[in-house]
Amino acid sequence: MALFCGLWIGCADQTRDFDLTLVVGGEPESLDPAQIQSLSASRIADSLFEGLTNLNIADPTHPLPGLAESWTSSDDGRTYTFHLRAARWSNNAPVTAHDFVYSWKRLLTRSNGFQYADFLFYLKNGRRYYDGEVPFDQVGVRAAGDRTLVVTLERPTAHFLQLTAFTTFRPVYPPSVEQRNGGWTRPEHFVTSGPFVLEEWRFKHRIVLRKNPRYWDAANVRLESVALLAVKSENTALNLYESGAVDFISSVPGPILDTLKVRDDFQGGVAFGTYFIRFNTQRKPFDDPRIRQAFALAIDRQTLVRHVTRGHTQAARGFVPPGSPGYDAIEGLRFDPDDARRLLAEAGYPDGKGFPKVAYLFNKNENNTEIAQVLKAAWKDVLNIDVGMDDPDWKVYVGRLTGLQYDLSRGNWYGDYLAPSTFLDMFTTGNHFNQTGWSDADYDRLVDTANQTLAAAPRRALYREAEQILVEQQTPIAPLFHTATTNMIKPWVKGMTPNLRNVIRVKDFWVDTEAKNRSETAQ
Amino acid sequence: MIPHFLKRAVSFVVTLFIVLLATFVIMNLAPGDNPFADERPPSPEVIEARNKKYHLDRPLLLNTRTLSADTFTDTQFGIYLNGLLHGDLGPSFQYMDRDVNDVLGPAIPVSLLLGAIGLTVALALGIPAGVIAAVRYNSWTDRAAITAAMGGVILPNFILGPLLVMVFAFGLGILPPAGWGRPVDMILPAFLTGLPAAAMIARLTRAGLIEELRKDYIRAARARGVPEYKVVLKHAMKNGILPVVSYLGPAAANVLTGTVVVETIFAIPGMGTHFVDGAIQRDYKVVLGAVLVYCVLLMTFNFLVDLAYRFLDPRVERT
Repeated sequence: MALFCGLWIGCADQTRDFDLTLVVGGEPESLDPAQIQSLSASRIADSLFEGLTNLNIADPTHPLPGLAESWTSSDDGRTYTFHLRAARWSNNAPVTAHDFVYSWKRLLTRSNGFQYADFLFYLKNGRRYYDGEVPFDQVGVRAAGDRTLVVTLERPTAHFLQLTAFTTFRPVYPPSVEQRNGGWTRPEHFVTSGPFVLEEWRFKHRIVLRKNPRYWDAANVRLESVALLAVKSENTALNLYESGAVDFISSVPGPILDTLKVRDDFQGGVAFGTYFIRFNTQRKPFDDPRIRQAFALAIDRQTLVRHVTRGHTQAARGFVPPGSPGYDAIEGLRFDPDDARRLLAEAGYPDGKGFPKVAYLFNKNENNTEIAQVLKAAWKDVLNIDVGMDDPDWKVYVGRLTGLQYDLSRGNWYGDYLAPSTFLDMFTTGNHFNQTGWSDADYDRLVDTANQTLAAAPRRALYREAEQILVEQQTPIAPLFHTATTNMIKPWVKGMTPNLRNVIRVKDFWVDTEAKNRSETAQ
Repeated sequence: MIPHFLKRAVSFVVTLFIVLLATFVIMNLAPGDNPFADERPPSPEVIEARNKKYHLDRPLLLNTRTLSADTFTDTQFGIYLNGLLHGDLGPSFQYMDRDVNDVLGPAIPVSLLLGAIGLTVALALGIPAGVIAAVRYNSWTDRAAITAAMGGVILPNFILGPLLVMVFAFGLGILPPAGWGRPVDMILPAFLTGLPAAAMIARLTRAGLIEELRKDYIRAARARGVPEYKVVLKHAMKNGILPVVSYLGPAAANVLTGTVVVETIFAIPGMGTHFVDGAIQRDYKVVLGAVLVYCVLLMTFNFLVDLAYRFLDPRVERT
């Protein structure tokens, strides 16, 4: 009894009233910008750390100032000079260009094992420092004074400015990291430059943010306290939303999507992600592009989207989702059963006769299973081929994907920034996200040249040509549909601008307390 | 008493060692070789750096390159045990800013609390139900109680849970649908956790009491004019409750380890989800840590139950 009461007092804490409560995913794997790999963690980190720039939702190619008040770039597009404002860390220390140099060096140091280190390969000698060939002072970033950061790129890169807003590039406070290494992300030691400070971090329970009075733009931050609940189950998140405990959720349970999407508080749209099929080009029979194309042509994407994935998902033509600046969608491979059968016959398996046993690999969950069943039926109907279903557990699935131990498999990708290269780079030779064994010199050349072309029109044309090779001609992958955002937002929460990457910028949010009180009394 | 305690302590440590070793071996045998594999796979360089950082490049159990103490200590298992002796349960692979102490630490009191309240609910519901059923043996009340008990055992908690949420949180609007931290958050989860155990306890109480009430000394007590409620609650209960006491050990085990579904439905930061997630994500140290905690808790609880049994039943040997 006594034990019981002690425990009760010990762990029952009072839940306070927060200005805003959100669920943006499960527990973040880290709050260190250099370590973060998941979308949900980056949303939280973006509220804690500020970058050189901020995403301009209305016009992504022209970012808004962040820690940098202004910047210039050289004519050849290789050198950027950022002029930092007189910003402060939450402990009142000034933010300097040296903080950036320290943070980027830390990111680029191989022994630290940061997954997104390769984002800094855009810097001159970035890759060479990572491989241990040159010392860090040869890398294209230096502090020309306390408030001037000069960045030199390996090659001209059109989307570099967008990247400066990316979570990975946001600087950390060097003394924190140096002194504590592992423990610096605890609330008591957490020093930030962003709109909020970390007040509380209860593992797998909730994270509480409080407005940072030292944030350079604190005048425009209208929330005093924000709670982010770590809820993995979509059902539970929805229950919390419906009961009024939570004001914003970013995903909903699939089975009731149809009921929810017609509600006023539902905010959906096409997202910057693609669900696709990968073919193992190193294994028969998918080493033959005709067979890959036959499989791709046999799928009716419109029906898939209308009846299975529903919501705002959109049938895919190309691999890159529409909507990013300067991108024109290609034709892609449309649903054409006759053409599919013809190609299959040409490849030596008329009407599926003699086709070897193959299996479609995917990680088991409701959504993937439904889609897999539709695909299986399509391949049976059109090509007369029985494709096996292979749905092992998560780690086995990713292991086999990386080890090229599959015939064909499900794939999923969402873009890190709004430019085609975040999708098209994946399938260049040797890219570790490729995972199909496919390699094409023309494709590599086109993507590489496009990445360095600063003028918009020729760049667009080059990406187009590359994508046509990828999707229409060689088909190591078959895009199925583009994913959708499924946010539910209480009507008194303002400031969320729908955007392709579903960037949830909490500092823009504010609560219309009158509207909230009105609705609460109405209940 | 002392030699007995010593014996228990030694068997405690030995059992723990074997369990950890077995868990370690099983986790490493499971397919899916690298714990860092992901849909966005880390590059080979990143994997190499992490393997080095987390000692995954060391041999698992025996280091055959040297023939010294290092053969055992310069291995992954050896490094782990060494850490244990210093109170360090190792790093988490999934949660990169945290070590296992951070991950499991806050979860232990949560699970203990949930378990304690759940078990209390189980006893509070089960014992009275069992008593009433035994006293009204073979009547409609008895049959109703037994059916309810069966229901409690059979009905899966992932069906009952959402039903309870629907009724109490949305239908009646008196309880929260999820969350943890206030006393009111604990009501539905504790009920759901305790219900299967309550059912079992009801049946055991009923059976135990029915048997006791048949005995001669009870008839004698009644003949002496002892009021019925005293006959049942004071005399018969003393022995009738023994099966329930023995069951408390396994009951605690079930309640403590069976909380995953409840934790998922109600978003409770307890140990169950860490255990399951850790296994799925191959977060070795978290799983080992969870196994360690469960083992210690269960062995301690069983020991306490043993003590209670000796105290209650004078027939048990005391040496």
